[in-house]
Amino acid sequence: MQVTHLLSQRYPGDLVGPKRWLMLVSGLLDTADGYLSESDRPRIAASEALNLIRDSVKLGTEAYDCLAFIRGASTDEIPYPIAPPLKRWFDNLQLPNSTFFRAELVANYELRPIPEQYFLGIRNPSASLTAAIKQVTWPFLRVTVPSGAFAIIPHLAIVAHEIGHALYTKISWDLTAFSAEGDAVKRRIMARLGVTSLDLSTQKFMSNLFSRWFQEFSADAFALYLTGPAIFFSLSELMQFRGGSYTLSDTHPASDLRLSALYERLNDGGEQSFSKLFKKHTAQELTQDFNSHLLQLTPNADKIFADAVAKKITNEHAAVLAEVHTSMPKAVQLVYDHVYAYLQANAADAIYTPDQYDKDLTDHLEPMLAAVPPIESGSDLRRKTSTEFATILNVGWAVLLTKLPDLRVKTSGADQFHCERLERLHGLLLKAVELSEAKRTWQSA
Amino acid sequence: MGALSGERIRQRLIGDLPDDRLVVSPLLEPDEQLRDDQASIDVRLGFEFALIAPSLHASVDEFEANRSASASATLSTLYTKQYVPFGQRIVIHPHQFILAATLEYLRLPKDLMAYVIGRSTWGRLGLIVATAVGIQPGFAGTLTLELRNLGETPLSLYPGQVIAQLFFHAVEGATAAGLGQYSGAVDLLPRQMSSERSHKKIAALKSLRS
Repeated sequence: MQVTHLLSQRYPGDLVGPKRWLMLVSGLLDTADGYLSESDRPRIAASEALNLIRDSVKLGTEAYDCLAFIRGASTDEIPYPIAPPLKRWFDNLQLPNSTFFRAELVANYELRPIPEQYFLGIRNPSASLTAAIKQVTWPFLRVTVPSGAFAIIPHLAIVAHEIGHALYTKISWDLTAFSAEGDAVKRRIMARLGVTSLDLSTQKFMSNLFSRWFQEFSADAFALYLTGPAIFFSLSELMQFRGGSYTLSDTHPASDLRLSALYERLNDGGEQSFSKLFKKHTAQELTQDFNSHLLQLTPNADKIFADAVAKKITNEHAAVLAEVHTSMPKAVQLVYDHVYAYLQANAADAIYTPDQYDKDLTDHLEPMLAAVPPIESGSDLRRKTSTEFATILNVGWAVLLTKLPDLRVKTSGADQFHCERLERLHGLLLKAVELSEAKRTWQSA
Repeated sequence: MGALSGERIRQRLIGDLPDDRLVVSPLLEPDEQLRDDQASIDVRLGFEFALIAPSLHASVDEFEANRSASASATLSTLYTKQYVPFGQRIVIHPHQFILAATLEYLRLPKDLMAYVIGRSTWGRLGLIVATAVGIQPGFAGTLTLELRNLGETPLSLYPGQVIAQLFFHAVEGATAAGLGQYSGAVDLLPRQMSSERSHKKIAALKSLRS
């Protein structure tokens, strides 16, 4: 009943992902129903009937968990027009996976792949479950974005980072250029620990740490090449918002190191670099801490080691964290180069270039201040083209960070902290997404 | 001053200076929506609709509502919003009243005002498109159309259908465009009925009578 109701609802962009997921849930419930019918069979042994009933209950619970998994995927949480441009990123990058987007009221972004195995191995699956499994392009991807006040449009650049995670395994990584540094890291760890070799557990921790941190840098690199400065500003805000101590963990490299890697690349290209263009259009110098002044910087290796030990992390793991962190700047260029080469080879049109950034801010920044959202580009009425999502994100950030008081929209006199302007900016950018998509859809019909 | 010709409208749409430019965007079929031999530009139905739920309120009375609460929040409780994508429809029944947004985003420079007029084809079917027809200089946003089916037959409305036309007039002596209450507004729900000043005056007069 509940699934039928959910299936009849509208989901953002009318993408098929949520309904594919609900069909899986429905298939699980049909299978559970089948078990119950089977337990009613005449002359069935009591123990067998009991087992069937128990299995039915388990499957019912499983189905309920799957329903909870899709919470926040309706148009009540994610505006209808947002999903198509996000999904197009997936499609352009040759990620055909069944996908749905859902939102929750926390400042968190996550890409969760669900493998087909999760639904396999179920005894006597219903025909509906078998059919639902076949309809999915596995692994199923669930993308979580924030809702409510955390969901101001420009922040959605972080979805490009999550897509980067999905693409990590598609790259043929050649890290031989890093092997000498890898050896140096080992030597420094041994020196710090006063040992002549590393035990297997420490080596495994080090290897996993490298892998996870490489993945994060790789995801950042994808987001940079897909969205330009927008990801730098988005991550800066997100990382600063999380606040507290410096953020170095066994899953994520230090936040300031990630921002520094992005910032360095925004400065590539001399006068035509993103940062120079940002200054040209906004008259503001782009600094590494432009919108992350509150972010605590990571200390040197000795302090990282001491802090980790103080947090009851083992000496071995603390030493690995400190020394791998120190070596990371040397790995970053390698990671960014791999990602760029991958995109050039597979989705060159998706790369957001400084030239495009220049054009976007030239065409749309002033009009945006006059409350004209970046819906389309060009002056010839017959040849205007829909703006890309990356354009909308970058125009949004430029206004948000440098021109918000100049946004000519009606607000009440009490908008001291520009909250109403922020809300209007979000509304205008959402309208830009909706109408640029409308034009695209119309032209493709 | 007379209405702008199709050719003049076209010129204003491609002006160089953002402040002087007329914006009607996107024009999905520019050659159909804007013709040199006409003096208007066609606009289409958008995706957002708001259906009024009259049974929830005895009457709409801005002086009964709690003024300290947001007036727009109070007024918005009158409506149920519905998002209708391309290819789907909403049916307006005989004598039903709904709000609809235009698909096009509009911005008028300080020296132009506009009237929104329903298309005669719809009118002949009984559909009244707009009752608040004047658009002030400086307006920026999507237009909210007040649709009412005066006919005896339900009408299916599809996003993208041409629903109305805009006639533009030059404003004499215009020096500056103010920011109206809907400037930069993309929400079709009403915000306030009276200005703060008028509201205080009428409320004071009302209290004298009670």
